[in-house]
Amino acid sequence: MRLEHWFYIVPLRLRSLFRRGQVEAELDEELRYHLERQIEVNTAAGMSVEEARYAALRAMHGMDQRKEECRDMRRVRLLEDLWQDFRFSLRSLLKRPGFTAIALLALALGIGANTAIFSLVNAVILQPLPYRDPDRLVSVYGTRNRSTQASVGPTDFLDYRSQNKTFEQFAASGSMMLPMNLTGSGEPERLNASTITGNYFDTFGVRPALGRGFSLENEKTGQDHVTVLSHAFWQTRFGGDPNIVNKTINLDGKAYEVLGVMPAEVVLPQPAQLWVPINFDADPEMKMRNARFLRGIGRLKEGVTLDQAQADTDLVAAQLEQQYPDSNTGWSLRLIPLREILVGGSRTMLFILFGAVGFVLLIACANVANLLLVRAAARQKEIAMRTALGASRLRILRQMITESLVLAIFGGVLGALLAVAGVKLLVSLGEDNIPRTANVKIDATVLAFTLLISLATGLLFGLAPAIRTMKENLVDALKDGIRRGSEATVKNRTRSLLVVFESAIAVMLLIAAGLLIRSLVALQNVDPGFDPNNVLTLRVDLARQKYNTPEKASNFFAQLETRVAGLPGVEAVGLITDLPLSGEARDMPYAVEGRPATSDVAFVDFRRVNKNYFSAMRIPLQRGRNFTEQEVRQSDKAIVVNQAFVESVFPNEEALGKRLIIWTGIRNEPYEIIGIVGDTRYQSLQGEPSATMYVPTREAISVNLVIRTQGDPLSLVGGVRNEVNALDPDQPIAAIRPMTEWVTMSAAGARYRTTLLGLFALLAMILAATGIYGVMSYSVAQRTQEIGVRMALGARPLDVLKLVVRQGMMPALIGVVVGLAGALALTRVMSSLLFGVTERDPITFVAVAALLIVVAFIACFVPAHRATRIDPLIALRCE
Amino acid sequence: MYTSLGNRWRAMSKPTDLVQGTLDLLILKMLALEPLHGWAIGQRLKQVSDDTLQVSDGSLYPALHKLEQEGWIKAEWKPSENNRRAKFYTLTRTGRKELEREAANWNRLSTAISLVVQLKEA
Repeated sequence: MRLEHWFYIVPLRLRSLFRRGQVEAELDEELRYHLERQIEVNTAAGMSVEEARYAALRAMHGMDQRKEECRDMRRVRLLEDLWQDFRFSLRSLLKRPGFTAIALLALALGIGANTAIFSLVNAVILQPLPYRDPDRLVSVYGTRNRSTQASVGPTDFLDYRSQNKTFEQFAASGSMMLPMNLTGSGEPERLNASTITGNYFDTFGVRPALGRGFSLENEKTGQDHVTVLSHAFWQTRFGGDPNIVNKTINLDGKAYEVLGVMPAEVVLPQPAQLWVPINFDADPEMKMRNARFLRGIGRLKEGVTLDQAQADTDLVAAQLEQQYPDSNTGWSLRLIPLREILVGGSRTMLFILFGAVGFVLLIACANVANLLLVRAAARQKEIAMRTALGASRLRILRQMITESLVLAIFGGVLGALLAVAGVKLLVSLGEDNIPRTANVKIDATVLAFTLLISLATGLLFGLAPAIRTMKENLVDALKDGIRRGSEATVKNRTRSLLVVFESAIAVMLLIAAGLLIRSLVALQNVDPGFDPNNVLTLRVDLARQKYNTPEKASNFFAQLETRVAGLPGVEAVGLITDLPLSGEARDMPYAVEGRPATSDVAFVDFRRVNKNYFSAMRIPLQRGRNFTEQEVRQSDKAIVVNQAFVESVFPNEEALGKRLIIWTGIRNEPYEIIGIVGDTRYQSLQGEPSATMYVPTREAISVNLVIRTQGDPLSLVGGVRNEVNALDPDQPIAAIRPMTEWVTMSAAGARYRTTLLGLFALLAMILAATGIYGVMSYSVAQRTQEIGVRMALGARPLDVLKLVVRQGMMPALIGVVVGLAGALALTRVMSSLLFGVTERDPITFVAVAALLIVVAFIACFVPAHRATRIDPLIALRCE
Repeated sequence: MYTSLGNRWRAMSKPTDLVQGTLDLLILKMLALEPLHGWAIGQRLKQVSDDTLQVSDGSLYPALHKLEQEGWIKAEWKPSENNRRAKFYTLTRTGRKELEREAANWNRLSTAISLVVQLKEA
């Protein structure tokens, strides 16, 4: 029964919709047939043909109304109207290409910016991490007295792994990449290997696309010379060889069996070219509880909370503390959800950017609303006419909203196209500053968001003018009468409010951008404590197996130093284990000889250097002396410290001559302080320089060369490469950069967010300026006659100028004040992103206010100037 | 001038002179007897009711179109008695069921009203 019913209904409705012409023709024919029969009857009754026809029509009580009623019966009215409204909207938008283009541009920019930033937010924050049950993954750090965030020692790790009761898997990776030199077929290549425990992949729930991963067996000597390749490395180095599994490759002079290849889409928190297992039996360092160099990752058991896991590992920590008081006093684990580690840092910035583009879109909305208000005024007569002809008010409202929605959706389409290009730019600019950028794409979620904001925008800017129009007095509009002063004021008030709103938001965005710009400038003016100009840096990682004694490494670097120093244009050749601002750093536990031992072990930033390092970097020697060549060669027990170290450790004592006990390797031996140098910002440009200790050496296996040159540092690369090849043709060099680039890179995050926010603020300002300009132009056009009268009565151009400018500047000024107040309230959220400037920096506030006032003035002045050139005679006649 | 001219999206037949819904019943009944075109339905209604039921020509067609869209009657173009093409309406199976329902309703209603009307005044 129901089915049968639909069997009739559906074809009927479809016919009504898609064969409209035929349905209409049939309606006409049916009614014509009726008329003809009626006319026949009427003439038969003695009427003339004319009379008969008239009577028949009269009996229908209005032919067209009846037809409409019949059409209403088709039940597809709503769809038909929608389609009609849509076509009508398109026509009326096309009829005003100027208006449409400006509105579309504003919308496309606003929606495009929102779409692009949302795609970032979506990929970085909203999307789950690409691992199995990612919410159960926790990052595991070592912590001393629960205040630091450090690495975990290998022996401690093994104890935690076997004794915890709350983790399904407990794994770790080396906190630093292991540089490995690939030799054998083809060019020697320096690779970034990640050292991991056998259960590392299982913990994340990822497995190789080809072959297999590691097992706990691979943590033992004899089983540890195996590797898993990343997809990218497999492609570039081995051309995606499908038979790579079980083959051997040569790493640091040893044969490693390839067990598997990871799939391309798997991105682990530490991206590496290949993975090798950690061998817990490898060398004595592995047994030292003081050497902490692992980064833990754990998968919580089903249903276990972070607090329960923390309590569980605290129990193990307490036992270890009792068993090994020397090394473990105060040490425990700090558990942090992996998600927090990966995206926590960029959340503030992303939300600020998201807020910023939201503001930009609001301004765009205000602009379009204003344009629509102007149009609505121009269309008043048209709408009054349609109302008079029987269109219901709801119908007209619907028509106007449809028009806004059509505009918004086209704006959205353009915006999405803009966003595609914008996202590429965002990703290429932000690769190193935003996590998970590989995921950033315009997908269904993002497009759904775009559609949603497009519709919301359409309603937002469409509703106000539509309601405004509904309130118009029909009769007055039709009479095309005298300007109605009071109503013009009401409408101008709406527009003035839009100007206030736009200026306020532009001011807030400009202030946010201004604060970031000031921070960036402050960051770039920070004295890093060394002179980065004309310095070339590059890194040489010797293969452990080939340079297996300290002497071999030392000899290599001594020869290299001499050879490079002999190259033309080289002033000094410094060597250092961990380069400033490169992210490399290590902490060294130390104690001052003669001071009572405390349970608190002190740590200091620790770097091994040669004699010429200080002169190559132009780090000033303040007191005492530099290392001698002799001390460097023998890795003597001499120490140079920086000023910050002296201030924190020997505030009221003579530091020179004091002896420190430091744990280098397996020796605990006293080193004597022989010199004090200036402070250097090693970790970042922000913050105070940390206490640093320099020890002479040349025997490290991985060393950075810092070469002070007379000319362009990059011109030296070829020469240095030749010298390295001459010493060892299998030896690659890496990280070849001018020192200035390291400095630039360390401010890259600040530069990125400043660029983006600056861009959006600029966009907001331009949109606000066009908004103000639009309002003023319209107002001047509207007041042509009035201005004409004033001028005819003797007003000078200057008076007219003042009149118009004052009218426009008032709302703009109010907007500036509102914006300043808003900024005072809002900039607090960005305090963590600021550097060297307070969140209420008066210079920024004043400068932005001044900038906006100037821009608003220009936007008012142009139409005002136009007003002064109105010819009174023409103006008076123009109505 | 300022008032709206009707809510046109409500589908409802508008008999000017008949109880709401009665027109539908009458049309269905006419068509249950034989297929007819619009004009003939109008004529037939006048004939059988001795001109008591003055269905205006205007309200007949919207009612026919409504019944057609409900699936109760279906239309077919055929030559009419004077050999011109006319739109003939036929009752469908669901239309017959609807007729039974409407007729039963009508009987109940008219019985009830008769009872009320025949009450003796005290």
